[in-house]
Amino acid sequence: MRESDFNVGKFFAFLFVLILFLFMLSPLFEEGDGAKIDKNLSDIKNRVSYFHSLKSVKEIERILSDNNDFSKYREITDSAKTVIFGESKDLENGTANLVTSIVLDYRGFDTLGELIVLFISILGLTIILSTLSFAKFEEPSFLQITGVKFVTPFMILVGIYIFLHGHLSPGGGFPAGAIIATATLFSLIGCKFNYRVSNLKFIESNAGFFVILLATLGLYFTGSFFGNYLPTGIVGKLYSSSLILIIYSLVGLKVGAELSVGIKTLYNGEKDDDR
Amino acid sequence: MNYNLPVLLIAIPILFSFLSLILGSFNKILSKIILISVIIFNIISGICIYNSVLKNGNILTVIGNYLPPFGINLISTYTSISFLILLYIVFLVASLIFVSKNDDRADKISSVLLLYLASSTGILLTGDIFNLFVFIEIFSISNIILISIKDKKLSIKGSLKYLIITSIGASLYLFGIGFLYGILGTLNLSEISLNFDNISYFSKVFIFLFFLGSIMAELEVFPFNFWISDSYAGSKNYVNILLSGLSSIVALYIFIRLFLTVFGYPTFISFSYSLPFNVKTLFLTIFGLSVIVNELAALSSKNVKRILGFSSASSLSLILLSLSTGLKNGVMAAMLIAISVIISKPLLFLSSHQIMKGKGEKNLNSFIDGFRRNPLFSILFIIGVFTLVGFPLTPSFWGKFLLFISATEKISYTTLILVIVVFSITIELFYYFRLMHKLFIKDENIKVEKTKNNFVYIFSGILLASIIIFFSVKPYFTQNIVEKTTEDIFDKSGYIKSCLKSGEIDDR
Amino acid sequence: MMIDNRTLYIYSFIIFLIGIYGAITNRNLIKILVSLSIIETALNIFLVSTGYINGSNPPILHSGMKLISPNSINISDPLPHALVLTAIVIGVGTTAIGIGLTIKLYNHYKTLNVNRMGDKDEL
Repeated sequence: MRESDFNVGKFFAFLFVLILFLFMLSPLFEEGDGAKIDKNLSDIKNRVSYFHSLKSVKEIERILSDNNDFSKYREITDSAKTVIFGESKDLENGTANLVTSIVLDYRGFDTLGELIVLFISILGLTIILSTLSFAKFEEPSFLQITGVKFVTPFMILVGIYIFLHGHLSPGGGFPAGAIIATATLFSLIGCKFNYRVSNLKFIESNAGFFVILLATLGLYFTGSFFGNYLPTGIVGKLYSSSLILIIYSLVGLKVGAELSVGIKTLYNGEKDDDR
Repeated sequence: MNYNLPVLLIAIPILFSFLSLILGSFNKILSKIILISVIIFNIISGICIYNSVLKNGNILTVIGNYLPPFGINLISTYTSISFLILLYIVFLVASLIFVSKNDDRADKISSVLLLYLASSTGILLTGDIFNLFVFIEIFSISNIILISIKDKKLSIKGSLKYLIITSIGASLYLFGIGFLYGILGTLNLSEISLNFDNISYFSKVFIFLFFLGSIMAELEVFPFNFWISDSYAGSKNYVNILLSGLSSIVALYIFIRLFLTVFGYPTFISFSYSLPFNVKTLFLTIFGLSVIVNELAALSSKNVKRILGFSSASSLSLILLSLSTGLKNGVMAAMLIAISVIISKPLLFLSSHQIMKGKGEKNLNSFIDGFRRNPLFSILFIIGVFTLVGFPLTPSFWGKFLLFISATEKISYTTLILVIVVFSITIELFYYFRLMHKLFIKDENIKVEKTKNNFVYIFSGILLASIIIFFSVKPYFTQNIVEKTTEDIFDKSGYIKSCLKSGEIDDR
Repeated sequence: MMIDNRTLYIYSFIIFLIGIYGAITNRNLIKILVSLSIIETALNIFLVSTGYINGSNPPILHSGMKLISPNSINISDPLPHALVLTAIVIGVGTTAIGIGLTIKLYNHYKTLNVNRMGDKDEL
């Protein structure tokens, strides 16, 4: 049954999309009063992330607490505050990568949710595919076996490097986990390395457990969930912002194990698991 | 005051969901015990928070030691905490039923259920718009998994439809968030609601419509309601209870927070919107159409679960219809109908499952002679139907009565609301009475065997029925709760003040 | 080269609408999932471009770099980057579940076409 190239449904879909496009363009080209989305953003001074970047939220909070009005924080922009790489120390968090400071400190709760989304979707994958078995892939060739044996240890090393330097350079736990999972995928299709899903599940749930435990310990030490209770050190050093370092390492392990479970499940179902 | 109990309502289920997977690999019973004990913990701490909210007003919980506009925060208001307790009761019933069944994937499913609990709590408590998005995603993914565990064609199809709809909805929501952040530079719900009026004309329309589209995708509302039929008919009993009870609470709460607190401006008697088009007409059109379409779909179905699913969607739309009138009476009516729907829908699913037990096909005819087979659950079914339809003295009756009164206040919509409500009641009565009539048809040729009821089913059925009866025979208690909730919904400046310490909004 | 944010927004809208068109018109489940991924990519571009400042540095401190308020702060907004990180992971999760369900449906029906997945006794 071949469908013709032009049909009414596609035409109406195109029309709908066109109208939607015009509608979406309207806020970009409007003229009139009121706040608009920036045509050409020049600085971030009237956003919350301005204070996040300068690591000066605590100070602003102190100023605002005096007149007890947290909605007027935009008017305070002249507080002299400097963050210098390699010199500033004992700030709120010692990350040189400002994105990491937002991901794991200022908005750590979102990251927790993100971890859970990944966890629950891989769990769901194993639930959904638990009764299926798949056709096997063909035998790997000599070239594949050699190449995989050469490349895989380096990939795992790079993964570990990336999650250990998550607070200094781009990367962090999630990309590192993806790299580690790619290494396991290579070893799975390259040299039939048959890891057991239950072991990886154990690593995964333990890492998740410890992440939440570390976050909950903040309740005891700082009086607030996800509060930072370890020393932050000097910005730019490897041993700065210890809590973020530990949590990102756990996240890296967790994501690596999780994605490996997902790959194994999609590769041959949970049947081969001898549990 | 930094009050940390609310965050434990989210953290403890997450913690134990990991633990349930670890311990469940040794023994499946352990994960079931963990599930039940976590829910009991949540109920007890929920009641503690309820008491302190009654005493002190809204409670702010700071996460990460950074105060609201800078970090993420949770706000426990009267509305959220009373919805939460209702949600936990429904969840307790569903998980008791889950526990009573044997399943070799019990450790994984109980872990999913715990995350479901955590995410629905998070949706109800969070004060940050992006955090709300994250929790909605967890919620919808766990819904997808729970629908698909029955492993039939229908359930897989239903969950895939749900996935496609919710991911399009989520993308619309994220576009709205991007626009809000690009314009206002903040993600805090209170600050957005404080500054929403300052946004320019077209941006406001854009943000509003994108959020509306995304929420409609989650809300079982008319153009997006086609996933209901498969996912209700193809899923297990406890999943039906969760879908009909919990999803409506969560959807209702998201609607209240976004479209009444953030985008709306409360005055003494009604909500108003500072948008260039008439928002109420839009809402009334969408939800009115949704009520009618869902009722007609329920009328034309043969499968009992499908009938109940469409009926729950239509009653959710009716609640939203009365909420979106924006009048004080309308909001009160919505709360009254919500109480009765949230409790009676699980009861209906439970009892219809027990009545049809042992019958191969789950269609209308499997109800025949149900009263002689299973008298207890037939009575519970009838109680549920009377509560849902609005038999006098039930909360739903008072709710529909108030809706009629509120319709008289607003001249332009009077006839429309009246027509929709009367239409929905008539059709509901028709198809429920058809089912109830089938219960008492005697088939003399076949010897009737009494169904053996599991203790858990009897316990949860009687629990739900007694809650309904309690709400019906204590009208002043119900009225007290509903009035407080309505007051809380209308108290926008109180919500902002509890988060940002100040922030007056101009009453218009 | 000067690129203003509005251009980036429009590009992301176009990619988004391509995704929407694909999700509406396609009948193949894998293609629908691909369209959903396209929508997610568009969203990520949009979110990142809300924090893009022309000619600014990436929000990562390196040796010799200083942030001095209020004037010498020349970095792009780090918060949308964090949001995008979350959005990407959520997208991965949804896609994984979608692929799992699609495999399952293919096992039942032996086809990926949505139109041929109907059953007679639906109602």
